[in-house]
Amino acid sequence: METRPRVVPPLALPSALGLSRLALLPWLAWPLCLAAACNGAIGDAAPAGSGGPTPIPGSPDYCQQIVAEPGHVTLRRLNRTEYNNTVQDLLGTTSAPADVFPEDDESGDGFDNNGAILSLGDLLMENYDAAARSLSAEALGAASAARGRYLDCDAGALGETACARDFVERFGLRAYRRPLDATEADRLVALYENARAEGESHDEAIALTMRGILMSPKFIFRVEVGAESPDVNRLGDYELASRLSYFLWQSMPDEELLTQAGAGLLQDEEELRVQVDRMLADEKSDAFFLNFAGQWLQLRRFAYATPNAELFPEFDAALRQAMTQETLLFVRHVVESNAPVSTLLRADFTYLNERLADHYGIAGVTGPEFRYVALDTADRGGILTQGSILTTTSHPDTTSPVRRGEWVLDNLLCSPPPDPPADVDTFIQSEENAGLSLRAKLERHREDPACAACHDLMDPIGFGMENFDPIGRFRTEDRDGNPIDSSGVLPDETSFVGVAELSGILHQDERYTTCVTEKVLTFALGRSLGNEDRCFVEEIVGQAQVRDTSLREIVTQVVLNEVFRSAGGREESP
Amino acid sequence: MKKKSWHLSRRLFLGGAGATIALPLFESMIPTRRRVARAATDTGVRLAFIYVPNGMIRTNLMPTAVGAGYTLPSGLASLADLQDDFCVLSGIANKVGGGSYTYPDGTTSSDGPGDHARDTGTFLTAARLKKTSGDDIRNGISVDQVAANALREFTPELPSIELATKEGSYGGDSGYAPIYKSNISWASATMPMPKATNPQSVFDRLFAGIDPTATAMELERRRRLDQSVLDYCIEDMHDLERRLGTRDREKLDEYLTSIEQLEVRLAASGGGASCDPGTRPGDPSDFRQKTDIFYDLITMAFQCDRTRVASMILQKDNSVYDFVNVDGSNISSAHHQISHLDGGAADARKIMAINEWQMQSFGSLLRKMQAVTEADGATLLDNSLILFGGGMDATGDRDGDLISEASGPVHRHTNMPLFLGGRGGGAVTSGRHIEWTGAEPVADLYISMLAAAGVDVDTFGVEGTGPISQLAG
Repeated sequence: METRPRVVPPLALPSALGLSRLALLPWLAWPLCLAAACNGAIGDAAPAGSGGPTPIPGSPDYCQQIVAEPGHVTLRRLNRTEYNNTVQDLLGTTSAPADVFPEDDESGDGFDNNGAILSLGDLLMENYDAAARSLSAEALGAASAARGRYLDCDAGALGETACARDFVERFGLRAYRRPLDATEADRLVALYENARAEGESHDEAIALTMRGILMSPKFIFRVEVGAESPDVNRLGDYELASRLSYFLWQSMPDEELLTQAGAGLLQDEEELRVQVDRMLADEKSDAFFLNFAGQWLQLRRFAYATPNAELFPEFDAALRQAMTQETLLFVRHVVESNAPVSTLLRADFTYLNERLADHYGIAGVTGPEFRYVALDTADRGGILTQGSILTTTSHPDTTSPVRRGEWVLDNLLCSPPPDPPADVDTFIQSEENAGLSLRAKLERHREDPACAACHDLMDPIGFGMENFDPIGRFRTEDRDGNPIDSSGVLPDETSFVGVAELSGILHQDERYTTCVTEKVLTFALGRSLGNEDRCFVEEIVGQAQVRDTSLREIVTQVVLNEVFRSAGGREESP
Repeated sequence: MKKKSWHLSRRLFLGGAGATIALPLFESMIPTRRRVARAATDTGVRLAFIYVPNGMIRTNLMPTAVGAGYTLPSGLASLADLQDDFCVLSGIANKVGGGSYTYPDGTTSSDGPGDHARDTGTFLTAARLKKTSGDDIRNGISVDQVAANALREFTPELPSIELATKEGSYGGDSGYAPIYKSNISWASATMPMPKATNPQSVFDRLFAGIDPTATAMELERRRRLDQSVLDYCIEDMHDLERRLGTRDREKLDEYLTSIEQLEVRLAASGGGASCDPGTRPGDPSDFRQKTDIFYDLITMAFQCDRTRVASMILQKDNSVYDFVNVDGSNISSAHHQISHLDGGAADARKIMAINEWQMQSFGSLLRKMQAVTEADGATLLDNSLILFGGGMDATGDRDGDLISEASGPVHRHTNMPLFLGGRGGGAVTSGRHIEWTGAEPVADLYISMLAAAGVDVDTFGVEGTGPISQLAG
């Protein structure tokens, strides 16, 4: 691959949390944690073949010293969401056959679309078989949408076999998300003819052919073999169309994407921008918010959060649903309005219905429907003040400043604190602590230097969110009547009071934009990021900063980047 | 369409095209199945593994005396009628579940926190988990899958079933990817077996039969049509195989393996006409009802010889046992939270009450299996081995004091709470409390359970080197 100019983002303010760009490899900056928790990952995967000193991943000039290669995404099967959306778009059905498929695992850095993790087993193959049978039977129904789309050929005039070939080519293009080659079309026509010879009717034989397509690895997997020429590392036009559509819609490409791919237009950057804007404006992008934001911000985990029912009887399914909805609509608004990515952290609006507004103590919102609500208080605004995240990061009975701090470091700064050392007691509610406030218990805990090294990072952030109880209500006293102290001092001595000031500090932390970009890229690619990918992240952030650093621009720059548009080397070592 | 000889092609696929594909662990450790003379009435030994999370407090579950005729401790009172039909196992360890461990080859791990991920992930594999939150996961093959691979000739349509009462994220743990905490059954180092959570789907999978109105000729015609679809898929797969890299081909191998299995299912003649599975169950939201239905399904699957191997995750670690009454009120906190015993004796009572319920649940499965008489005159329970329990001793006891300590008293991977139901066709003398000293590896227990089912392996997991002592009596 050619060397190419790299855009290096200007070094932003020194991080208020006392960590520099080195934080990409966070433990380097945390010598006190090093002894306890470093598992020898430093120096893994050093690029081979370069002369001179080996570039060290995470070092400031790492990306200047290497030529980063886009990695290959392991052959990735459709996950449940993608399967349902795909068959619905493909066949016009309203059925959701993947609802009964085995659950997809969210391992692979938090997203359930990771090719290496998504596996196939006997049970899933049986599910594919059953789904293919019922979908094809439904598609051949007299008034089905699929019949109108793919089976309007006049068999009386053209002959049944010609109509079968017509079906194979039109349906195959959409199902395989690229035109079939002659061998493939012939193979499917042979499948049809064999069924006819076995006594099946024309329609029955078409249904069987459809079953074959829906069971094929070319449908079940997202196949990326790269362009034929001149550069095999570049995705083919249709492969790029699929990357786009599964990124922003979790579904197959629509007619326009297929058309643009067929005309070779998707390699054009302006055209890609147009397509991203069009796709985000389409309601199918609901899937992006539900699946990207839903997993990044752990709304799926929130679905299983269990506040203590005796202490919090008001926490019911409707409230849980409302909190989820608030976060999704909020993130959608931030994208659609081209607001800076920092708006996620600090905003003077949110989305509420009456139930959630009552819960938050905000007046003037009536009715079950959600609407934009301007906030006139510094106490609320931004995701750190939303019930979904506040509840997910609490224990069933109490808040957890530690978990909240860890959540922020992990999900917003991509700098997860190292594990506690082995064999320490991480539980603070022992009898000698009885009667102390949570803050006092944690402060006692931090008297131990082994704990302080990492808890000095986590706890202050969590303290800043202490004005919110375990189900996201604003409070000034804890349950025992202790007044809430929401002040915190970060490792660089920056002090703050309350979540508004905390959010202000976090959104200036340069790791924040980088972290959001890492999350978007991980989801967009469907694989874990490696050391070299940090260089593409830097590049994407730099490009986005040239414009407005909106979340939308980050999404766009991900699409425009080489790493998204490449098939990667095929023989990557495991 | 001509029939492809793709059993052969699979082998070519694995070795061909210059690919140096790392063989999954199971390829290199295919066990030998003993070929012994079997009477016509010999029904074979069935194996089930049922896992509970967060460990158990052993205080009320362990008899004071060793051997037969022990006095039932209070936590096992519900099993009085079954005392002769199961063993209490003491002193068994899964050391790879611990945060630091010195391996037989002298290497030492210090993987730190993550006891819950290791508890679940290693329960049936006894292998080391690679600590990662990314997609480079690694475990080992689990004992149930070793059994399934060897016994599949008896139930080719369904070598094993994997069940869980709950869907949804089981969550990650201290740097371990969630996949470890969500799965006990592993087909290979990187592939957990998908779990079924809907009893109706499980019933259909086990017992959905053939169309009784179709003639044999018509059934044969449908089989040929089904086969034509699968042949088409295999050909499409070979197109890809030529164009994709090593890791992609591992995924294609998963595809091919499961297509092969589907072929076996479609070619088989369908459910047991000689066995009446009764009516299709519901899918109750109540966890206790669901558990009971799953136990019915395991029993019927074994009784009808639809499969010989089952595994089940009884509950998630953060479930709420709001139907269990302690000190006059029902438990309202999540199991995991109270399992740390931060609340001292009050929490310990809650955990012990949950454990008592779990043991009642074990008893209900044993009774279902005891009620089935097999062709050899023995009960289904006699011909099975049911391992029930968890990977951690959550007693929280140190020198008589209750201590809540992660990686310590409530998270010890020694002295695992384990109960072995049935006689394994005579391999186990049940009715005893068996005690081992010196942290007997659970992997050796698995070698013995496999042997009872006629599956001989020399080693298992990290520590398994041969059969465990004392089981025969």
